Amino acid sequence: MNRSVLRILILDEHATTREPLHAEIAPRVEVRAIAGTGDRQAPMREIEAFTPDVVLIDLDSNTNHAFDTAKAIHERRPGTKLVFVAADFSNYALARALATDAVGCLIKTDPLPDLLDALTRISDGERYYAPAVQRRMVLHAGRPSIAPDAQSPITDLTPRQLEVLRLLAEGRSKRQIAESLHISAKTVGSHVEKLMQRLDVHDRVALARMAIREGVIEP
Amino acid sequence: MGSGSAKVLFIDNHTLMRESMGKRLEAFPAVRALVAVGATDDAGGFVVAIEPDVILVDLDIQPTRALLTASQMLERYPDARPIFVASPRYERHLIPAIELGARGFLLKPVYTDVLADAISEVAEGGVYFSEPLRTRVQFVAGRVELVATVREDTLTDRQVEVLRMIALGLTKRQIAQDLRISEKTVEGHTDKVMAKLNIHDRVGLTRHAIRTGVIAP
Repeated sequence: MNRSVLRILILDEHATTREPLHAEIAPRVEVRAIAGTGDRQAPMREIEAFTPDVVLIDLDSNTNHAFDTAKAIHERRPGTKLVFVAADFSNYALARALATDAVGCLIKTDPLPDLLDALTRISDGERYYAPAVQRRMVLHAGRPSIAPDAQSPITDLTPRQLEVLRLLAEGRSKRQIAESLHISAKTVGSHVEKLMQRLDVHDRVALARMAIREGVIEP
Repeated sequence: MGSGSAKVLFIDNHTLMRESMGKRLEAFPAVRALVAVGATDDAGGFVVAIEPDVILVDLDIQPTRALLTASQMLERYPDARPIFVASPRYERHLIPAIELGARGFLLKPVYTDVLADAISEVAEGGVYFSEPLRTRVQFVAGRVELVATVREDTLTDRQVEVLRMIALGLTKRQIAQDLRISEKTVEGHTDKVMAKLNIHDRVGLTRHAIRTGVIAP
């Protein structure tokens, strides 16, 4: 078997989970180097310096921050394999993970040997989605998308609309959204209009509730 | 720092943490024996190899299920003392934890030596709460209780009603009609709610209402 030696980076805010993860992975999967970061300001700097093949991203402490980082990695270092680790994947989490072409989704309650097996497979170039996640997916030309029977209102949205929805639900103004996504306020307005139409929700309060129900934001 | 030593039942749904944290804890003198289990919907049938003095519960993964398992294990071992660990975002579980008789509640990040200290303290009959929680609990006649919220912060029944209606998406006019009061009075209630909660937009109020259980999401 021609397994490549991997550089794995663990992105997890908490040293208390990062360290045991490191300890468990290091002896079992071939890992040349492993590092963790809790640095929320500059994870990209860590990534540029370390050039990991695989980034393990914890979604549970701050889901949207984790996805912002994942998106930045996907855009700036497109070859990097992204693996998400969570207690559970909401439809929103799944949709955003797939938008960054995640090669793995791991669930924390799965048995430890499964998690380690998943990393071995990913290091062999395969994709690995936990059984509970895999059931909600279909493959088109080798790439996963959300299965028709697992659809919910928000799985219909484009990745951009999902981002706008999240910022709206957090209570940001259109102008603030325009600034943080580097697009015009007019474009934001049109995203808002389209996503409200698709969700059939027409005020911000109802939108915030739906966003909470779908796991887009914490209440 | 306590000098107690305890038999610990450790409930954690995060398989990795259960193994690694369990192993680390066993190295401390505060822990005489440790059994680690995942939470389940029916822990009634669990057979645990030890009679625990302390039940340590991590609430971060599937908190409802973890609380349920804890309550079932506490029924089985009524003398065991529970300690809960959670991320700050699950701080709201302090309330059900106290109802279950929590002798400790620790907010993450929690290092193993701190956890061992808490176990030791609780095993000796003491309590251990993370610094930010200490003003919210009091130790009265051998029991841990929640401190009643400061009066200025609590909303009146009418204000809660208005908050609920705002969060359900009702307009000022609809609220006025439903409650048979003037729109001006609704405005007055809304202003007071916003001032008390220090939240000044409707989306923020909605999130607060969901967080505190005024409405379901």
